[in-house]
Amino acid sequence: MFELSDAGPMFLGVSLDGLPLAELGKLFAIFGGAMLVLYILKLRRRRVQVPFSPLWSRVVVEKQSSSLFKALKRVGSLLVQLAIIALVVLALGDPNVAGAGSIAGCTHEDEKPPPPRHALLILDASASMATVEGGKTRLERARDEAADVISKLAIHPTQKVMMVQLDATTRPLTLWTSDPAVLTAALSRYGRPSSDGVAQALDTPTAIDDALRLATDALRGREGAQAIFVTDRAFEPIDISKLESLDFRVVPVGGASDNVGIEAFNVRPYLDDSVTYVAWYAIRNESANPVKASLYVYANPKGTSEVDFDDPARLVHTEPLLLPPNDTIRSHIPELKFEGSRLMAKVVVDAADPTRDAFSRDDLAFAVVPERKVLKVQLVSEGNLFVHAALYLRENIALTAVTPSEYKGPEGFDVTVVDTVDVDISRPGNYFLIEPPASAAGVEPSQSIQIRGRMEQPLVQKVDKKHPLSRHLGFADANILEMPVYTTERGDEIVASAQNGAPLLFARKFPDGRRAVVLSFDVRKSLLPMNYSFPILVVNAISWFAQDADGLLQPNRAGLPLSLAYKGTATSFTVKGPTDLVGGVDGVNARRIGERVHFTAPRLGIFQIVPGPSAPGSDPAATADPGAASEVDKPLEVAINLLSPEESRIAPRGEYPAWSAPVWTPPVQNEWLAELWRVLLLIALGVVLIEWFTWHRRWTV
Amino acid sequence: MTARSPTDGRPARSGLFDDAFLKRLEYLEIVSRKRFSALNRGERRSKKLGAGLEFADHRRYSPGDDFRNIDWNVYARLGKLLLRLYEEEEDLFVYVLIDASLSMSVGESAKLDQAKKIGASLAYIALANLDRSSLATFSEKLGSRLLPVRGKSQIFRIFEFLNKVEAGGLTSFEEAMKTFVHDTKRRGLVVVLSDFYAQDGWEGGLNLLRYHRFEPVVIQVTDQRELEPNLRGDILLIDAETKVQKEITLTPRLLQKYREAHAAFCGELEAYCKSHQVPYYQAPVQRPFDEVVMTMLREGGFLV
Repeated sequence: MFELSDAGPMFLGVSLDGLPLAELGKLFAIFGGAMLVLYILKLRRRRVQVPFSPLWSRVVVEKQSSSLFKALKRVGSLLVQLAIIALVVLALGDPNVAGAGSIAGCTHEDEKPPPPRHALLILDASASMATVEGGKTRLERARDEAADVISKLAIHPTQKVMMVQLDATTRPLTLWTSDPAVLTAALSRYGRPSSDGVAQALDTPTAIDDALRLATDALRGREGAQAIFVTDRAFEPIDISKLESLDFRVVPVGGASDNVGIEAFNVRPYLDDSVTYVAWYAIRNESANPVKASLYVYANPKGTSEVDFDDPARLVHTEPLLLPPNDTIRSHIPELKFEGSRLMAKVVVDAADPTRDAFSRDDLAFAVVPERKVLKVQLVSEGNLFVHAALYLRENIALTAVTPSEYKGPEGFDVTVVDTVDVDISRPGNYFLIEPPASAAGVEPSQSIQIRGRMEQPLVQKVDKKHPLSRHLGFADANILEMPVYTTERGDEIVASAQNGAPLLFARKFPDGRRAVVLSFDVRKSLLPMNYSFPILVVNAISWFAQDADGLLQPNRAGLPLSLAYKGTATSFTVKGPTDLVGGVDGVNARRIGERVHFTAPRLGIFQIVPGPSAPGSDPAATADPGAASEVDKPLEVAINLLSPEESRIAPRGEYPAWSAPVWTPPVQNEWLAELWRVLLLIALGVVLIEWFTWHRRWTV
Repeated sequence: MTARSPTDGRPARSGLFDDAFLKRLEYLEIVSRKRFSALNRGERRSKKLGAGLEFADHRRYSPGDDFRNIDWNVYARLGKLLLRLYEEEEDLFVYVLIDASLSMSVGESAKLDQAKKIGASLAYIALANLDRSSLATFSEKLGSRLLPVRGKSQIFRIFEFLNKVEAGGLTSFEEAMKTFVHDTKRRGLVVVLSDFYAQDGWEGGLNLLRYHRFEPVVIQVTDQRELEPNLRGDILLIDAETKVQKEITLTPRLLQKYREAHAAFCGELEAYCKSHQVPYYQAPVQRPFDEVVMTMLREGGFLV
């Protein structure tokens, strides 16, 4: 009360936090007047008829001598009544004596108060806090530990505590306060609500750097500053240099436990096939023993959460796994066929295996098949039918063929294929260059493709078979007549090379943002067009550009801000979350900034971002491609996963100074009596009791 | 109550006695410690010698004496004329004086009613023993009076008399008794029924009775409620007779003192009666009047 109330003006060193003095005066006048009237009525004696008054005269004659004392007692009784009213009225004013802590010696601040302390209590709510140990989650244990810390810290007004929840970001739960009730109430908001009413950890990583920055800022310049981190320490050890400016203490929860989790999961269609998909996964065994497990892949066209997928009827793939100890296996499922575009992978430790999976949140992973885009490809050629025909092999290609004289630039096309002609390729874009002449370079040497010589009948010496451009390719029978030798630079991805490292096929990213795939020889001077590899090479090259643009392998992690490409006209969006997201998606907003939509998902599952109304004045029909407006305004689907090796490694890492309770021993406190108005009421009650006691014994009548 | 009289069948006075009570009273006998002379022969011996049946003494014959009383046997032996004297049996006069002052009416007139009932009982007992009964009320002076009556048939006159008695006035024993002793020629038993709350004291009145050779019997009517008033705090006492007001604050301590003062008051009265051989009885209103009459008075030796 002393801190939260606005103190009124001071009167003789006493400020009133409750009713103002004028109001108190009115109340005293009203109740005091009423008391006076009642007192006067009380003075009227009851009339009693007696048969023989001389008998009474005998016994009261000695009382007459003390009539003065009796009169004084009567006045005293009135004064006592008025004093009681005054005490009660004064209590309504909630007086606060400046410079004094309390009355009755209960919490007298002047008596050796504890040294000022500012403790920033950081509560870890990251995904690893969902680890179950001993029947309780780490988050529940952390709450118990935090309550214990609060009970030992918030014991005096000089002890200030701020509580912060840490997950993918920092969320203050309280301001600086020394009120245990406020802190306890904030503790109930720790974590996220669940369907069973028990708070659970979030599906997010630990933003430890954010926490340290917050601690540094919040504690800067404060007395007795200390950061207390209640955590399972399941994150990369903190650089000790970052802790030098902080009194950083840890209250550890949890210990080493076994865990099996999915570190990566994704799916994408084969660019040359619309029926089958390929899925990648990485599964880690965080235990000292090999683990037998099974991977289950489910598909549900409308699924959003585990409950939607976890149905044997929706199982599309399963395979046994033998996970080596403390290691990660990475593999892919090459031919995956399913309906719809949504997948869920689940790893389950075999029942016969003694290893116990303590952390279940990373046993799930979701994936959404990226949409097959229609690539706009421009072919600049003098009429090379080999290339022209090969570009028709891939679906979803909108081909525009121009001659060098008709060429105006790469704008409006996803890829520009330049077949042995000399055109300006210095403008931003994606280029598939087939034996580009030296004059096709940019103005600056760094923006050009340099030729350092020519090579007769080069032979394929080296092929990077892991590069996407070399997928399904074979250069063995190319029989190349001749080719220029291009100068390679640092950062170039050499896919195939001939003698002396002369590049046959390489990819380059220019500093100005342009990307290029260079095939060093004219296909008409080789037998490659006669080989099945040529059209595949063309498709791979086109797909390589599309693949990087879509960022297929970029995982979307809960708690981290996501940026999705969006070319529609909508300015507002509605987020639809997983069906098991307790509390809905309130507070999850998607905002459009430029051509991107940004939002942060709080939980695993599949989220859908539904575009709202279009921006005023925008005309979807004015877009370059008719029908594109309806296409781009389709809902965006994104799969949110934990997929964090740091969170999957639930064993504590790093050693930090442990927190210990302050040694200051508080005086015997009675917080109830710490406020003056309560003491006043107690005094009033005491006076009433004394008056009642003495009245009924006729001492004060 | 529809009780019938045991003598003539007339209805008994309702509210005071029933037939059973009256019958029981018939067996009681008033014992008088003194003998009084009377006009008619009664059932008690008197000092007067006369035409009684029981021999008393001899005396010398004087001319004019009734020859029939000469004891001839003595004359034959001694040759002297002596007269036989007989104790003459006479009526007893029982006067019942009832205090009808205002102090007797405090507390729903319980004390006055009790006094009326006891007075009526005693009067009836006297009538049943062929004695004469007279009733009178008094306050600051002697009030209405019922002249001596004889015979049980007169009990209804007594009832009617008592029924008309109303409380009023101060209590002045001396003034009332002075009037009584001067107006009453026949001596006899005087039963005083009162609370003895007299402003001028009770001793002078009782002394007057004694000095005029009446035999007083004191019956003090009390009410326990006067000793245990259900009161606390500041009260204004008003004297029922004098209307004097007194402010007091009633406390348990004061109440205890009042009880002690009342006990002392009663003790003074009792001590006076003992010292002057005056029978003294207390008749609390909380006890039924018949119980008072039939047990308390009998145990006290007033009735046999």
